[in-house]
Amino acid sequence: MAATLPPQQHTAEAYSSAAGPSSSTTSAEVFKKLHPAQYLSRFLTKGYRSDGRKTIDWRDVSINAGSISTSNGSSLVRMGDTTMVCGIKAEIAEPTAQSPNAGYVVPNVDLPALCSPNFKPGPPGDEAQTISNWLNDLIVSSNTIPPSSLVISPGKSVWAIYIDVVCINYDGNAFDAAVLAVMAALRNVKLPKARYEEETTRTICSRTEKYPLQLGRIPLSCSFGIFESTHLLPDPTSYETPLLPTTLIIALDESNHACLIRQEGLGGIKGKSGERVLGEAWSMAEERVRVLRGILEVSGI
Amino acid sequence: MTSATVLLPGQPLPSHLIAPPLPQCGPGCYELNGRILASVVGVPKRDGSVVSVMGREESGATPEVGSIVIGTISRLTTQQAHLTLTTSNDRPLPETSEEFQGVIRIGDIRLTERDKIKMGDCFRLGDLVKARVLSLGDARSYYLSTAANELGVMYAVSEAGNPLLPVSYQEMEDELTGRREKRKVAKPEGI
Amino acid sequence: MATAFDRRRIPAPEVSVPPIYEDSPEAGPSTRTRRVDRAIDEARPIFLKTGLISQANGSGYIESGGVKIACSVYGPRPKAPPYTPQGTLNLEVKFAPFASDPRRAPLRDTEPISLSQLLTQSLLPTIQLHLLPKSSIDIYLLVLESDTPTNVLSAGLTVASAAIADAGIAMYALGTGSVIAHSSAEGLLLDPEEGEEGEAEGILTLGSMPALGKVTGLVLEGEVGVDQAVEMIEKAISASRDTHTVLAQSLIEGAQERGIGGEAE
Repeated sequence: MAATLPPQQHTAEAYSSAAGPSSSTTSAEVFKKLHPAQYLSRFLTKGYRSDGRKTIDWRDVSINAGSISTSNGSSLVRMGDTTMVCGIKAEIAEPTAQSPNAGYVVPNVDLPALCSPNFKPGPPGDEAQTISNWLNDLIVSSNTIPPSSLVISPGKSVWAIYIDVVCINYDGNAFDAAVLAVMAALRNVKLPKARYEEETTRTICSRTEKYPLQLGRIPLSCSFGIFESTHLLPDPTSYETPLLPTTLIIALDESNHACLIRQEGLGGIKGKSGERVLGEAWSMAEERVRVLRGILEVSGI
Repeated sequence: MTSATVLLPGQPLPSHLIAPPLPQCGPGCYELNGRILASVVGVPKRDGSVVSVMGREESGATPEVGSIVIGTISRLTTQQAHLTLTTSNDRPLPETSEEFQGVIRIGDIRLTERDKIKMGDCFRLGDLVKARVLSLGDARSYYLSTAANELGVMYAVSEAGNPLLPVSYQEMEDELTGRREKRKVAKPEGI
Repeated sequence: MATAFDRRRIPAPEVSVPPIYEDSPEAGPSTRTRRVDRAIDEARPIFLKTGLISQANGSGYIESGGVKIACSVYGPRPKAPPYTPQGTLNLEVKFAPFASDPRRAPLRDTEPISLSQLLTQSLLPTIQLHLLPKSSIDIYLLVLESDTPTNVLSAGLTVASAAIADAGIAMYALGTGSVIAHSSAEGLLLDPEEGEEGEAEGILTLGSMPALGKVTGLVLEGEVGVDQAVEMIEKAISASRDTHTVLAQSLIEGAQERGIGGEAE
């Protein structure tokens, strides 16, 4: 019997012979499903990822700004197959007594059942809540929308900026795509000129005069995963993500200063110090962020 | 243009395919008031007395009676082995949060000596098993059978954690330690 | 008082209101928005594309008038017990918070539930669920931009049908939606805009399978005479044939992209 075959080959043949005659493409699909780690590993030894790009390549990105007419600013971002829509709506609110000179910024990310077979309908799940929190931290710590710039009348009236990101197609790396979608949509926002009327205690907006948001630092994020303690993989897909126990996120602003660095999982890369891995990721992130800023610049306002 | 040959749901099949005697409806079409209409987006074809419309290959790969499925043993009792199914007829089952489940009852494991079977001598948790669908089963699981030479454990890991290789229909061998373990082994293809 | 604290989302201010605009001397919000070059029996152009959501088994995206909807179909999937001899259709309509004016706060939105039910009822007769024992088909619609609920329903029906066909699920025929408004001043208006709906005496949303000449769903709101209602239904049926042509074209293009019948000749 097959006792002399090396194990990998043996299992592969077992799969390919799984159900009688079949073309090689379907057996590859079956192998991909049954043994994802081996499948990815074979691609990586040849220098490629399972979606066909080179090991350290990022996926192509496109940005389309301003297509949602019911929002004050919007964007559609595609990162490979991952697709995010961000819509921003501004409403008027009263500031809190503690901070009369601060508006509200409310970012939320939704990963609805529409975008992936693995999500269920209902309120935001763990991953969506996590990404929303990271996004909020990033926007607050980078001072992307200075809260003081949202004041219409101190202590009386301020803008509340609702940033809602909805995923339409989830093929991994939702955080990078969400951050990019938010930044593109923020650049696209036009707010009406507003004034607070003391007598009526109402805030009235102009129909004709509009102005863009004053933006602070614009961070962009780059995510990595580490596969079998050997490969540092940028921009992982949804197929790769479950195979990457260690993840690394680096977000940089315009002057390549870090806005957020996050590592999850204990694993590093065999034979490399953590410092060296971070250094490699950082220089890849600098290069990627430069490309993303280029696309962001031409995405239109 | 090839687009002319693609039919849409509700569209009648072209007359040359349904010339008398009126053919039977195969997959992808149905009969309505004596007419045969497509039910999927696809290309029609006639095979003797059966017409069908060939749609997307990968669609609708749910297990049916007679399908050959592959699954991983997820739970074992003395009477039943429960599997989580991953493929049907060599196609991956659709990705979903609710998984396809199958059950092999002890009497459906092999053809002979059914009364002497012990579950622990046939399957272990995590084994990759090839089986045939007997019936749609109960509300949760498909009923499966491995009672044929080419059905049974395709791939398994030994107690020591190494891959096992088949040595007979009842045994597999750890390729590193040489220790043998009992399984209902599927005959490897091409031997 | 706001609804109970939502710990799953980033907290919002307790109260916030959409901007109030000054009164404008020139032109307030125009009630009459139909473009002068669009006849009363002419629909706005529809953009429809299938297969954009790679994670789904089938998908569609539609832009029709002031509506943008993405739809994905998953299935057939294993259905949780109890056993059913035929398949189950699950459908959910969801509005993105930015999809309408004013903003839709999550949890306070009840409109999608009735829309989901109407859509389910209109789609059920189009799908051959008897072929899918103990399975379910899950259809999700995400509204990214909207003007009126009737337009969401009508475009939602068309795009869901496209996504089901794209998924390769067996159907009796393709379903399409259409909307007709009746106004005593102007007669029957096909594919009315928001302002026109506001002025109309009656609005009809119709789901149908043009290929079989069958109606699958019908909602008439307002007050119209019986003869008028019959005329509205006839108008809606004839309009649905045009929508069917658009739907057919996008499915044939989608089939080519998926390689169905592509390499044959």
